[in-house]
Amino acid sequence: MMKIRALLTGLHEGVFPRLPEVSRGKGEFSLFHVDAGGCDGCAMEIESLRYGGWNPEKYGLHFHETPTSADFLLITGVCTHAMMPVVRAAWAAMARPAGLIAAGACAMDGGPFQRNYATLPGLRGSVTPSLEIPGCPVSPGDFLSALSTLLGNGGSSAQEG
Amino acid sequence: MSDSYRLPATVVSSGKKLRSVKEIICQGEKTSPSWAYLLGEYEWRSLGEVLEEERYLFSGLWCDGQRILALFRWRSGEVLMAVHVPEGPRYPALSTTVPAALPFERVIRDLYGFEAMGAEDMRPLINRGAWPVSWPLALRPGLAGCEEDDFEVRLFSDDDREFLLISGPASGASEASALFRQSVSDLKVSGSETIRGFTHRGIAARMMGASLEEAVVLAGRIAASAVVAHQWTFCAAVEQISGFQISESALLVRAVFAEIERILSHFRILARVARYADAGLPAQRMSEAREAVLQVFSECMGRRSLMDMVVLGGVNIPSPDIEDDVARIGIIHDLAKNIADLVDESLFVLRPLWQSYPGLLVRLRGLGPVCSEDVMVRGVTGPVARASGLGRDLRSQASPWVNAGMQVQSQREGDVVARCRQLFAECQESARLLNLFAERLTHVSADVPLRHIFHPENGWGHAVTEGPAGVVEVVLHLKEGRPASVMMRDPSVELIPLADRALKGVMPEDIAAVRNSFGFSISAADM
Repeated sequence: MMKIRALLTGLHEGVFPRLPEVSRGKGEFSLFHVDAGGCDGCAMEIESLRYGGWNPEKYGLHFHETPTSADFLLITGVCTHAMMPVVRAAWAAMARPAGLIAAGACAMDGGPFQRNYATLPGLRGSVTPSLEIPGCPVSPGDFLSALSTLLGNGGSSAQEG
Repeated sequence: MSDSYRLPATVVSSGKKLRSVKEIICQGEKTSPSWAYLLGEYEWRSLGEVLEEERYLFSGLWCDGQRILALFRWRSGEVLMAVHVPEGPRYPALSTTVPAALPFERVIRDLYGFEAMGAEDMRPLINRGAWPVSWPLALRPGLAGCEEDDFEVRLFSDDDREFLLISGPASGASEASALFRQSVSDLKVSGSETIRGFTHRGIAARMMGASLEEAVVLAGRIAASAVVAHQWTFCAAVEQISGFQISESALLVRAVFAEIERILSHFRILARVARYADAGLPAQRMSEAREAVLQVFSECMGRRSLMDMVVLGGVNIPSPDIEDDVARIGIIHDLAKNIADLVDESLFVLRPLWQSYPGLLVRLRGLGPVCSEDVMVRGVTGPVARASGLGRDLRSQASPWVNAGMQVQSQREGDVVARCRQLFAECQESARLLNLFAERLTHVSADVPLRHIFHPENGWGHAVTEGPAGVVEVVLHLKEGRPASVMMRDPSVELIPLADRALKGVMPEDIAAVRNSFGFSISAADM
């Protein structure tokens, strides 16, 4: 647990996209997923990752159903005005330090959805995520590769699925 | 509902009794397009009254900023559009006789501020009070915020046997971003309400003035579970305006994609129902079967997503190493065959597992029943309607399915078990269709391209397709080659209130299984 806390602390010092050296250590971490208003494409791929035989637990990745015990807040979707209070509430409920992951083009910068009356242009501009995973949608393989980098497991092992 | 808005069931015009929707609409002043008629307030009210006898004709209601437009579709495929210009901020509600119109009326109020007089529920539907303005698409938007949430489902007593269950919009689970509220009395759901709008992205508004290519991309982001259906329907509306027909090979490829999308969607629903019914093994096997389909798709197409493969004028098959369409058709042929074989093999194992898994059917039988009358009144389509005895499927009338010997299956019971049985049956039929389309692809003319570039003309178009969850429909007005007005209908709009009704009487531990058996997409309903 000390290691993961150290990792998160390192991530929050604003080092992006290069990850701090401390992330090379092996470990496990947990995620709380919030779909902040997308087409469900990334959310469905995360569902595939969790239940489609990709075995994320094998790579030290656990999904939690409450934010309080999660290490990372995982955001998919474009960040609608209506979902931002929910995102903030989830973030506030997490133990510190905590990390923020933007998965998919929408969560990163809005993707095809630029700012309008209903949406923000993703997280970019509001906050600097600890990790951004590009894609539309993000595939389970891309997701595992990116997160394996955090854990120091190496991308290749994550490809096995 | 206020009685002051009710009129006699028959309407008299110029001494003649008008009894049908068509008669009333066609009495209006002709306007553009040729299938649209301008109705005054009295005629619009009359339309609402007569609709009681022909509710199934209602297809959609939207606003273009100044006018309220309603679409009616007959089983023959004929469509008529009624157009009404409100003199003030109100217009007579159609939902007084057609419950299916209510969500549309609430959305119009949220976005444009026009209020449907006589509607029994005018609470915000998609405005959750977080937008910087209210009525954002009105000529004069209002101040920020909206009325405080006035939930329909609440507790009315201090009885210990009554409590509220609230989940969402972020549960950490796979369910979409909506707030689900259920009141529970004596350990059974006594009321259910789905609060949505959290995923509203203003897709229709974004399409206004966008290029058609951008609009097709946006149509593909309405809901990932119905990408092909929405992009196909949008493209078909544009193609209809221009009188353009895609090639036979492109039509077959679109149909292959549509069937793959149906299989992926149905497998996901079945996996979720099993998971929420605590049937771990069937849930895992269904998810893995879905993943296997995606792996085959990925191997053939180099990607896992069906997004942006249906484009204006045909299909887009991204294969950088292959330049000619004959080779591309070969890839689609192999894709269709491989997925058909895989689905056949999967169903051979999964169906018996589903039926024999200890306690699964016993738990789900009789849960969340929906009767055929409710389905008709609410304009519900798709597998949920077919599981309640309404055996309609638009594919059976559309090319290339029309000559495919399609057997539209249906169930009678209308409960979760019937809905799941329907999904299994449709997957089996999709596998058969994939084999058939693969065979047809070997005979199509090799010199016909998969995509024609054409120049869209201005005008109005209408298109309708059968998506995985039901009917997807588009009415589109193109001006200077760009969308000037658009209505997009997704079946989830009708499925969500139907699911809420079906949850009454369900035990709390079965709520998620019942809800997921309806297969709706919150993202699609919110847009």
